[in-house]
Amino acid sequence: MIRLSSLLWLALAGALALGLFRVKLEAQHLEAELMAMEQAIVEHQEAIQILEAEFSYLTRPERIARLAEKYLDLAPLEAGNLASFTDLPWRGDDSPAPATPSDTPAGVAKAFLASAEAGR
Amino acid sequence: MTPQTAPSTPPCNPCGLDSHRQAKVQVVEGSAKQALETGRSRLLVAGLAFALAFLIIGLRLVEVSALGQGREPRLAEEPTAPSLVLGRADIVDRNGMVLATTLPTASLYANPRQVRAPHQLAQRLAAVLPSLDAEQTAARLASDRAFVWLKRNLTPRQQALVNDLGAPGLNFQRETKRVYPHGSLAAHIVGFTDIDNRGIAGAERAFDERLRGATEPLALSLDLRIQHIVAEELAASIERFEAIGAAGLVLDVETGELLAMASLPSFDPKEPAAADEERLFNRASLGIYEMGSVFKIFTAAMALDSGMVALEDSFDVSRPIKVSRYTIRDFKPRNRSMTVPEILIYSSNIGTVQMAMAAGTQRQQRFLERLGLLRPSGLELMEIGDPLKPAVWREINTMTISYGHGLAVSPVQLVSAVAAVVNGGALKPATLLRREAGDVPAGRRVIDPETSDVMRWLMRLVVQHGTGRKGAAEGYMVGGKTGTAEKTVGRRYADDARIASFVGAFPMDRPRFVVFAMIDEPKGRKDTHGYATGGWVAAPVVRRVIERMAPLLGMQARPAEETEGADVRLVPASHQGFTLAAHRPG
Repeated sequence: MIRLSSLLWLALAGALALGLFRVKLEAQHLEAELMAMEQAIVEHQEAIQILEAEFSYLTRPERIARLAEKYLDLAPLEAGNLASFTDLPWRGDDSPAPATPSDTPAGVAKAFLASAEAGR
Repeated sequence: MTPQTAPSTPPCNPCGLDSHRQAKVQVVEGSAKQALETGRSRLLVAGLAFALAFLIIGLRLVEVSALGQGREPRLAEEPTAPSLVLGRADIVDRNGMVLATTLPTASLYANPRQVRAPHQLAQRLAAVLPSLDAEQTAARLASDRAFVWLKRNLTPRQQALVNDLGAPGLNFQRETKRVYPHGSLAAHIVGFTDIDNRGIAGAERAFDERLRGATEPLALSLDLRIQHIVAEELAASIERFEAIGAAGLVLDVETGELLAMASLPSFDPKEPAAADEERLFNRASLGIYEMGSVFKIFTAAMALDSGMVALEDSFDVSRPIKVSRYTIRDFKPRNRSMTVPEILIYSSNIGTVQMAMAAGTQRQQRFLERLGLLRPSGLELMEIGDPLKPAVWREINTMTISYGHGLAVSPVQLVSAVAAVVNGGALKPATLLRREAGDVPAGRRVIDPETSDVMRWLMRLVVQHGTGRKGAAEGYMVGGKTGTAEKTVGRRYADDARIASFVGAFPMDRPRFVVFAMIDEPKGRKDTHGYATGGWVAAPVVRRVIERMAPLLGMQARPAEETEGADVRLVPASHQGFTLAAHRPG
């Protein structure tokens, strides 16, 4: 009888020891993972810091202007290029909108809308 | 009471009395029983207390382990998130573009004792780090010390290349370095730091405390795009007129924020030591200049605001004014009398002097004081010029100061004062920090709103019909005033060295920005008919700056009929035989 209970306790203690060992091992793994993660965070923050500086460097207005001139078919925005929605002709009915000279912003916008309509 | 006989078995002995004493106690019969009773009840109380304590502990155990929701303890240590510590906050512009940042860098050092083939290693190092001298490096690597610096502050790419060499004995030391991605563009404002990352110029110095140890970036009021436009246009003007320098500013009249502040020639903040004094000098805030006719804005505002001069008053400008040994003349003399609008349109010195004299010396002095022109600007920088004013303010000083000579102020002071004249009359302190909509100071009233309204229209007339015509940016309703000041060389005014300036504001019906350009010692050209005046040199710069910056800020140009309202009240002013009109508030 005594032997049986002793064995039982022994088995229990063994199981507990094993369980504890596994939990500790897992905690150790997690801790290592956490540290690696933290290290990675700092590394990424460092990379972000450097990339932001590089972004700022690469978007120097002088450089953008130079590149735009070289590769794009765009001109600097001028006062006449801006128009508001109220400048656009009303196209609610079929009657032709009042003629707008095509050299005004509204005229250009209208011509654009008309060509978009035709292309559809 | 019956005497107690000794029991055959020893009585309960709670107090641990030994049998000898027990025998004695048994003799004292009455008190013995009492003691036993006391002991028994104490035992009971103690036992109950312990039982209760164990019960509580037991219950708590059950509650914690079985009924608890398995949560983390509330008072656990908060795991501190790791973060990059670089020791100095970034400086950014109003849109968040990085102007100054701290980057971690690696510095390469070697332990020569571990290096086997110094010459070969030096060759390989020089191949990846072109700035390294192979001979010198080889000598260093061959020394018998345990530590030699090879190169400080490598870029990440260089570090990777050196790492790829895989040579033993090479090591990196982590350091930080202040980096200015935009180089010379806003160098005077951003400033620079010393080798220990302590600010010694510009914002780096003025906000050193704020930047040190902080991570939150410092947002300046600058708009880099506009800064670039101003710097580029000024540089073009310097080249065109073979000038020695220039300054330009863009100020938000409502908030006092400086959107651009350029001083040319500039320097590379990476190597400030390589720049001479001339380049490091901030003309926009530290330099003080006699501004010339631009000051007529203030004289007119003062005279009108004081009520001593009315818009319709006319002054005889046919004869030069003689005061002691000085004679005050007009650039283009006219043999008649002029109204106030005409005086500004033609930029008449004689008429301006008469306006100033009508208001008086004291009033002028007080007015300029209120406009902040007699004390250093409150701008956050350390590089702030002290205005140069007459020690004793005599009549002759009043006269010359009325058209901008005899009082030297910095461009920052000037634009703040002009902003106050056109924004309805409130002087707001100029700032280099971004102001949120909520914390714009109310400002100090310097002139009546009505006077400010009149001044706006007078300045508009100068650009429409007067000396500032080249400052007119179509559709943006620019108003302004030109200035051409002779520079003092020693104690005399030099004939051939001038400062050409133009201060403009737009749109004049509700000004949003003051734009100022100043070119130092421009030379006349054939296509300007030999002129190097404010109207020919500085006004076109302001026009182009406005034409380029306004669309960027979403400001739409308006057709002329919209901007020059129909119901203007007129003040007659004749110009080349035509009758013009100055707007007058209703």
